[in-house]
Amino acid sequence: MSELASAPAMPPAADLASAVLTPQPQRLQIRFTGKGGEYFRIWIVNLLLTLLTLGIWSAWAKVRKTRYFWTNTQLGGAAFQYHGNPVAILRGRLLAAAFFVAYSVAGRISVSAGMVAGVVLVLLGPWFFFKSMRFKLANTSWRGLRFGFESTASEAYLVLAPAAIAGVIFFATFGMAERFKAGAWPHPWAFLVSDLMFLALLPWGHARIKAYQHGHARYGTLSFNFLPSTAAFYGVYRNAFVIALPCGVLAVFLAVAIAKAMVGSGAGPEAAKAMFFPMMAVVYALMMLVNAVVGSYVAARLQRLVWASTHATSSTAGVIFGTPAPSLGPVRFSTTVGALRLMRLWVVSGLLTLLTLGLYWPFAAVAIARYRLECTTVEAAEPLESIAAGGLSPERSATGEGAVDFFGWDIGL
Amino acid sequence: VSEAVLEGLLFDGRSAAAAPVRLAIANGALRVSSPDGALLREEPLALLRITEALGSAPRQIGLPGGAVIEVPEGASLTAALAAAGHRAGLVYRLEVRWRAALGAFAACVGFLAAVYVYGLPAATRWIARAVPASAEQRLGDGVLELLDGRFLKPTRLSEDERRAVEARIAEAARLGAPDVKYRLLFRSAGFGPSMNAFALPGGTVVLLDGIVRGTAGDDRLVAVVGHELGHEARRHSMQAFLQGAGVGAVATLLWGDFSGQAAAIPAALAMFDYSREAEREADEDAVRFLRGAGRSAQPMVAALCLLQSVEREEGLAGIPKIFSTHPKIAERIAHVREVGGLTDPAFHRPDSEPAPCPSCGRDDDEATDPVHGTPSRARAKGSPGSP
Repeated sequence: MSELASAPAMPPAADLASAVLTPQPQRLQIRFTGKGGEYFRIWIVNLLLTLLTLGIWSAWAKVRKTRYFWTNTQLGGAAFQYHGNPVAILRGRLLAAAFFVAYSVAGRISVSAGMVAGVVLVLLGPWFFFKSMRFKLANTSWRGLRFGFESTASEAYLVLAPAAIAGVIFFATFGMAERFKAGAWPHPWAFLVSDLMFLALLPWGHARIKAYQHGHARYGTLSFNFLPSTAAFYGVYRNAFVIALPCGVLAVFLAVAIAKAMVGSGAGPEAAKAMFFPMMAVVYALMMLVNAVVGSYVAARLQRLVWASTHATSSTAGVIFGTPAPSLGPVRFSTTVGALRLMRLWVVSGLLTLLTLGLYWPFAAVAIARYRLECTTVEAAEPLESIAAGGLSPERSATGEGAVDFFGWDIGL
Repeated sequence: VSEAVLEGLLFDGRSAAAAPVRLAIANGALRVSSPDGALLREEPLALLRITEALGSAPRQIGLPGGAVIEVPEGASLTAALAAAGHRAGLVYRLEVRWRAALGAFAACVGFLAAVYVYGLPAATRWIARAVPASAEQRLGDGVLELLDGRFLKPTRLSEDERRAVEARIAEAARLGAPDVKYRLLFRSAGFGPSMNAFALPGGTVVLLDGIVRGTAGDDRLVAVVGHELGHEARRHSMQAFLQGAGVGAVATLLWGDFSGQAAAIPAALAMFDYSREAEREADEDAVRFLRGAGRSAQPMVAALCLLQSVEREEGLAGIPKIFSTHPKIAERIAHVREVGGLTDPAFHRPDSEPAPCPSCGRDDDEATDPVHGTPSRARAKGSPGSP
């Protein structure tokens, strides 16, 4: 990938000075200064330490890797910083691991115990999510000021209630399916209807979660808010479906054609069996390709939509050192990330990562982060220098963060 | 004493405004001055909170009182601190050297290979033995309940048939495996292959009607039970569960960031390899069991041949069961022959050749092995939420 070779250098001094001095409306582009080779060395050394410590180091590795990405992300000549405490993250991960072991052991002892454990896990989800958001934002800073997440656990439960209900229903239907005897299956309509309902409500739920994540973020006296955009989420998902359908059909046709060509040359079922593994590889590769095509479209369009819907305004209530906080015009975000560019990046990254058995991954992660970050600009009607520190307390417990990491529930910012 | 001058941005921690500053480190203190040279602050290095060095990325210096200085050229701050006697941490020093990174890569490969070949099998064997028998029993009961509910039906064997099998097995087990506690259960298959037997955690051996009828309840069935008792004595199902968890954790660690789906493939291949080893061990146990009970190893070979011929018929009709966790039967037959010959010098050739088995010597496809040691797939289906 050519963009890796020409990694941008540190911001030139002129740029740095302009970020300091000019008190006028600004349009700031995000710069990413990470380098694939540098991150590869960090990644492999921390991987070795994680293996040698039987996973304990993974919390420190996570902090170093996250810090690498944050601290190489620059806005207006200043870098972001991540302050997560590895000990807190380790504690969170151990707790999550304990939950996970309890869950999987329960599932093996009896079906109903597993169901109960699953429901408990689903009910704890919003709390984990809330704690994770707080930890992530409260431990991020820029220009000496911390970000924050201003919400409460009960609000998180309210927002995530539909998702939690869906999860509980999922585990309950599992229990129902268990009651059917061998050979007897429940009517397929029930499953079809519940699946369709899930699909129909997915964009709504996604918009709801994004609105919660972005609507409660703070940076000093700056409050973020998320413009209602549920209809636009439906648009992205509908287009994704329209793209996915012919891609999927084409992939199936291709798979069948290739299978026929492969088997046709041999004779009889023995040849078909010998071809089974190569055929599975072809099907898998096609699946991943469709995944990349649809996934990159969704990722690019959602990145655009989410940042276009995010605004930030100064909270007027703050009074700093006797003088009222200056009222800031809205801060806007925009990204020009393109679905095709992202798709090319994903497909090339994925192929190289598979071919190198994972060794290319750190290079890919840096290249993808560079593209997605450098597409993004921040427009501030008034200078960002006038933002003052807010009054949010720092977050030290990383229970949610550990759990979100562990279960892969991270929905991303 | 170095006097390198660094550029930085001073943030007071109360607003986002920045002031450009010059930094110098001398006599164990950080001197902060304005671009025109006026000294702003002087702080002892011991009171500063400096973010750890990370490649050439910017570093930040936390001053007492909440102000922060950002140094865009992180590497030059690292060099200046090193010149002042504050060397960066070991992890940083490893991370910045290509040679160390390549060494780390080699060490990762070596470590993973050692864990795969020695560490994980030994650790899971040890933990599986440490699991209390009552817990294992409960686990097995849970699996049986699930199988009974969905896949198995009551046996259609007559009382007499079952008594005969039980007596024959009991007599062999008394001699062949006196230390293994077991319980025989008879079931018929709800669907799928019925030429099957399997061991559940906690000492339960389930015999399906097909295998009892197919072996006519003779010493081939004794061999099959010997194989299953091998799984029991070695706690293979518990070990497979633990190995699955270990392999999954390592695969997620290595490839989880990239793709969870991709991480599942090497994990599945590793489990396939481990279960081949378990089958081989149980086959050896079956031979030992037979010899302990005063029989030859031949019935084990005959049992495997029987399964192989059944499989050929079923395999052609059905979908190729390629994801079977068992080694090729032909390989197992060869191994049993070898072990059977070696464990007893008195035994070189069976006095009577087994029932003619045209497929014995030939290399067959991999298909579901009726001597099913670890019903892991059935378990996976039953536990809600299993990925």
